Amino acid sequence: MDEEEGTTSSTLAELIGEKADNFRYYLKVSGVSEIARRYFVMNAFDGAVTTLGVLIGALIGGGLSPRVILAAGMGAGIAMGVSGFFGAYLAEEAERSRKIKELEKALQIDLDDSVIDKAAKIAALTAAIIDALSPVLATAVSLIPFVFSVFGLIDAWTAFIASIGTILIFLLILGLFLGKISGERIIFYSLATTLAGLITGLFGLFLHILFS
Amino acid sequence: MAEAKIRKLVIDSLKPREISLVDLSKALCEVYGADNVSIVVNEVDANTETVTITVEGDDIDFEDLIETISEYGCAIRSVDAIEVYKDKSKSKNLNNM
Repeated sequence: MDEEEGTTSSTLAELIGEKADNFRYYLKVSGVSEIARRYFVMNAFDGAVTTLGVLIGALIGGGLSPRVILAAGMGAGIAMGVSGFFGAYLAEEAERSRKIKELEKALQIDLDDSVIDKAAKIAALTAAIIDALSPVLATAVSLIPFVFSVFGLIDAWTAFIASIGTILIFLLILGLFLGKISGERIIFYSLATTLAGLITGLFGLFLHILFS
Repeated sequence: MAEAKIRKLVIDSLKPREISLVDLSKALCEVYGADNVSIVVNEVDANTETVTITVEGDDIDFEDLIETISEYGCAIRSVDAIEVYKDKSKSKNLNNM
């Protein structure tokens, strides 16, 4: 019995291993890793800066209610995630079906169910999932201090400062990641992404003047 | 009963550039009866490459080979050479037992 179970689990492990290998192979053929990386940085950046906007807007509007900020921030993050999923999926799908049509014309064969076709479908889905998850992740990380605040562990103002700090650190990390990809100018990328956060703050100041 | 078996096939094919020669040749080597695979690139285009695929083995499964080539998105233009022999010693069924 134990032996049988062992055989079943090893077969399952082999099957999962095989699927994982296929998945990796499709990713390699489609060349989606690069696109996915780009989508990740772009949308995580979007998520972090938008959350910063929500925070500054809330401060200017006069209400630092942790519950409202958490709900508004997560709402914005989820909306960006959903829009990212559909936007990326449809754009990638359109691009790749055009490419496959071109290839089918050159090869004079039907590429349905071929490695190329499967790779294209998996690539579109992978890009869409990364595009959807990255802003949600960025928003969730940025809003962690407000979760503590909702549970009464820290006050709203501390949560606000901590959240802004988290966002700036998150932007800095994104810059480091970009620098690592480019293989040079790590400081330039880190400063550029952090600067985006500071510029948002500056615009927030103008907004404050406008509203006061 | 003696049976005719394919020992060697030379296929002229058009391959998408996304598919690497290493992956294609390894996949073709997995085909039933194939022992050696060699691929030579003859011409390179923007999206495609014209390749000559040579498969050698004791008893190459032609249908499986064609299916694998198609699965990798390659178009078969022609079969340029084939080598078939008659296996007088034993039939395929006996081999499988």
